[in-house]
Amino acid sequence: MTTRYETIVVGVPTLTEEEFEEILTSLQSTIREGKGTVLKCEPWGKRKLAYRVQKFDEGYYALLFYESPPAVVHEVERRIRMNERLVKFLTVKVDWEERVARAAELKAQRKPRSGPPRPVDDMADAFDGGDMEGGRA
Amino acid sequence: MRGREEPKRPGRKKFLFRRRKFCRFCDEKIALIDYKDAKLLQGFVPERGKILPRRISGTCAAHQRELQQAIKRARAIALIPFTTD
Repeated sequence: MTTRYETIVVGVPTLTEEEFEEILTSLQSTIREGKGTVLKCEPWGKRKLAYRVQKFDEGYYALLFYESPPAVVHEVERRIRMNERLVKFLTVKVDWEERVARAAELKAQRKPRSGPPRPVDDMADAFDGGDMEGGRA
Repeated sequence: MRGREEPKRPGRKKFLFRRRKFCRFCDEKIALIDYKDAKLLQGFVPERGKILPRRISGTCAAHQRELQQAIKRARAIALIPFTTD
């Protein structure tokens, strides 16, 4: 039984981009060791924190999207906790994919009826698991 | 899901025209209020950092619940503030 999870980790700003990548790679191998599949590993680069964390004002963010047995989450979180270079993390069970897909489908069906499509919103692409503006610093 | 008519309140004089409130998420057909979308969430936490009440924003109950969850998650990973001083 596998479930999809999303873990966001925040690394201390004193790291270099490479060091942070290394940490991410090791987390990914942890997931694989536990018979999980990494579906996405998305570094967001250095971002400003909304509030001070361990005296840091910035942090390296990254999103890990994976499919694994629940036990893997514990192991991943344990490792994150032990790693002093990671200051924050959050794991969320991804239970909205179906809902988003259905909404996108509905939208696709509806479009031809209501005349020319409005170019403004394109939710189908906007939520492929969570792209954010910002990206790499 | 947007009602058209303002409920008639006979005893009250209307001296200011107030725009009808509606749920932004219903209107824009947002399928998911993503906790990672700090830009979007920011619009629902005014300066003080508190969650904007429904009576102000007009968000429907279902979406307000989802929004609340998203804001709380975003706070947990320092995407948006708990408070500002």
